[in-house]
Parts: sequence; C-alpha cells; structure tokens
Amino acid sequence: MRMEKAIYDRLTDAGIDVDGALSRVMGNEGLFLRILAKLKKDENFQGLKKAFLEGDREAAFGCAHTLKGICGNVSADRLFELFSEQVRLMRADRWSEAEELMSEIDPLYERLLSALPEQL
Amino acid sequence: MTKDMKDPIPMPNTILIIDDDEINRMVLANIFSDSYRIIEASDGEEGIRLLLENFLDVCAVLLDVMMPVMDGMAFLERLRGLGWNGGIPVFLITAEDDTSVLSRAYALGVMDTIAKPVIPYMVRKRVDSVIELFKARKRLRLRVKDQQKQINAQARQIIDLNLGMIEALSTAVEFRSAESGSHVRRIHDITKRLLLDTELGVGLSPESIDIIATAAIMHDVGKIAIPDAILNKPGKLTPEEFEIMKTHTIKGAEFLEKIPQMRNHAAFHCAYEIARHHHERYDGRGYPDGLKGEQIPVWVQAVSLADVYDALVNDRVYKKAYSFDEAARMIEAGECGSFGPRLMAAFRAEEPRLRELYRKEDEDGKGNL
Repeated sequence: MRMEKAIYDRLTDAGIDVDGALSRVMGNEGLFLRILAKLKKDENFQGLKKAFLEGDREAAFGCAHTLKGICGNVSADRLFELFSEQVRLMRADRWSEAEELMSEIDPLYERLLSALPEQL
Repeated sequence: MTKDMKDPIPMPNTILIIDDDEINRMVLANIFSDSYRIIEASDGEEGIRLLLENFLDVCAVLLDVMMPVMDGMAFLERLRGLGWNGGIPVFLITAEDDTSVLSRAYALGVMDTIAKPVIPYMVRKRVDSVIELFKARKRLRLRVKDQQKQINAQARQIIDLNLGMIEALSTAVEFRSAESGSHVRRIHDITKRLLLDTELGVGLSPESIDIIATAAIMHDVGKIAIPDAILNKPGKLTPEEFEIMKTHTIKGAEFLEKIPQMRNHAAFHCAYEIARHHHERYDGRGYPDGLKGEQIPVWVQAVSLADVYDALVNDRVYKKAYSFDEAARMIEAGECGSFGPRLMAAFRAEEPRLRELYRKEDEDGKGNL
C-alpha cells in the first residue's frame, strides 16, 4: 500500500526523504506514522531552546543529541545534518557557534512540525 | 539452517535492545520482530536487569552509547564485572564517530558497531550472521560433548571387556588347580590395597596402581603349561617335579609375550615382570632369576606377598586354611618366603584391613567354592 499522496508531498516539502524513511522501517507505513506521532509530541526542541536561554549546556547537549537521532530516523536529512553539526560544535566547546545554528534550524523544524498530518 | 527445520537443541532467540530513545527502539525492534523475541530497556541498568532475567534466552544485545542513568560503556564494564566474556554478542548501535569511544567499546568486547541512523537490511544481515555463527558454535560444542560422552562409555566398555578376558583366562588357569575365581580377584584387591593405602605406592599414580593390580591377576598364567599330575599333586613334589613347577614363571612371561594384543596392553610390562618374578625372594633364594633385595620391584614383591597371604588363609590341594593370625605370624616369622623390611612394615599396617576383604566376600555370598 502506498502512502496517501497528499501526505507524501507535504512531508517531502517539509524536508523528509519519505522513501528513505520508509525503507528504514522496512516499508512498515504504520510504524512510520507512529514515529511521526512521537516526533510531534517530542519536547526536546523546546528543551533545547530553553537550555540555550538558561545557558544549561548539559541539557542543551542532551536535547541536540536526541534531536539528531530522531531526524536521522525520519530521514529529515537537512535537519539531521544541522543537529549533527551542532552536536559536533558542542563537543568542541564552540557553544556560540552551536547556538547560532538555531537560526537555521528553527524555521526548518517548525516547518517539519507543521507538515505532520493532523490526525496523528 | 532453513526456518522449518527445527533445531534439535533449544537455542536462545531473544534480542535485547538497550536505547533511551523510544523511536530508535521502535526502528530496531521492527527490523527483527519477525524472527526474534524482542525485549527493550531504556538504560544500561534496566538492560542489566533484563539480561540477567532472560540470560538463557538472549542471543544478542543491541546497545546505544549515550543514555542517562547508565550509558553503554558503563553497561559493558558492568557486564565484564559479571563475568561476561563475549558469550552473548553485543552490537554497539551508535552515531558516535569518536574513534576513542569505538576502540574502547571493542576493547570491552563488543562484537561490532553499527552506525545510526541504521540501514535496516545491513543491520539485519550483520546481526543475523553473528547469531547464526554463535548458534553453530554452540551446536558443535554440544555435539562434541555428546560424542565425548559416547567415546568415554565405549572406552569404559573396552576396559571392562579387557579386564573380563584377563580374569577369565586367569581363572581358567587357576581352576585347574581347583582354585576359585575369587583367588585372582583377591590378588588384585590385596595388591591394590597395599599400594594405595601404604607408602609402598609413593610415586605411583592411581592409574598405574590399577594397571599393576590388573597385571597381578595374570601372575600364574604359566601354570597352563604345567601337567595336571604335578599341578594337582596332593603331597610334596619331588625335586624333578618341583623343577617343572618352577617353570610356570618363565612360561607365563613367554606366554604373555606371544599374545600381540597383550604386548600392546598398558599392563603388559607389569604383567611380564610379575609373571616372571613373583617367586623371587628378597634374600635372593627365589626363582627363576635369583634376584635379590631391591632388584625386585617393590610392586612385584607386593604381588608375591598377596599370593602367599591368600594361599595361607584358604584351602589348597596340599594344605588346609590357616587362621588370619596364624598366617600373619608365619609371614612375619619368614616361614613362607622372604620379604623386604619396607614391604613387611606396609603389610603389618595393612593386614587388619586385608581381613576386611574376606569378610566382605563372605557377606556378598561369594566365598570360596
């Protein structure tokens, strides 16, 4: 069974390599939708922004690391690259550069969330 | 092995996934859930608990590195501390490209590392291959163990059969002089007790003592070559008859030498020495070679003493049985041969226990015929 085209297109527009993501779950579309539902409810992105505001580096690192993993799993490729870069910068103790990446990450992540199907 | 071919031995078939991220666990579980039972833990501590609870069922562990409470490295170290040595394969599923983390993980015994985000068919293939390898190894190990058991049982049978043949032969010989099979059995037992319980056997392994005791059974096989008229003469032998009687020592040794299977038997050397020299005397006045003192191996002397003692306390064609006390006294007084001081000391210490052998025999209803 092929995914509903409207959803497929919306996710693709939002930066998800849908075919790649489906192959990661071995074509199990139901599982893919459940994973998107987890992404929708995930609070690590708010946590990351809050941690930067409060200067809590440990929390920031934990959130960025988890977001990298989630974006990797759903094949949100650009976001995966950005979070990977952010984690790398944090490890290298380059915190201001890591924080600066948020200006690029933030709109992409919001767009991703808004593209997720309503009924999830 | 194809799927419908049942494994004759139950094999572990559970994969333990340890990852704090639920999505990661869902993705990994989905890859394996068609052929394996999946159990999941969200940190190392829970992982340890689940592993211990399912120890015999777990065939592989998929382990994340970065986790709260107990991370992947701490999990591996804890596992090490519990005695794990790679017997259950652990795969590190990680986005780490930090080579120091990876090399430490390998040093701690992980089987392989798999990069996140995972590529399903690759993970499946790599994990399946290792699990199959471990199963094959286990199957092989169990089969070898099983075969070893069979081989041991067969070896035991062969040894028993050998001993049975040796006893049958020796009993047949003894039977001609109207002695029962229990004589050879007792020579075996007395020799064994003397060597095992006293310092006579110092330097001899329990296996060697068994071989000597077995060899002792054959001490008189040479009597097969002695005519009935001499062997069973109730009265005293004439000097000519005695000369013929004495040849049973040399004839026995020659006889053993002529049986090829005997020549290759572990007990051959002992049996040869015992058959030839069990009538030598410590004072050098024995036969056939007139060996003296320590020229006679102490274990051959032990067999001579066992033979004499058993002859004294049982009936013979030429005499009635003596009491144990009388037999011990006669040996002590040198009336029935000449034995070294070392052997005599051992005999004195062991003699009360030798009497037990006869009492046991009576109780078992296997007394003399």
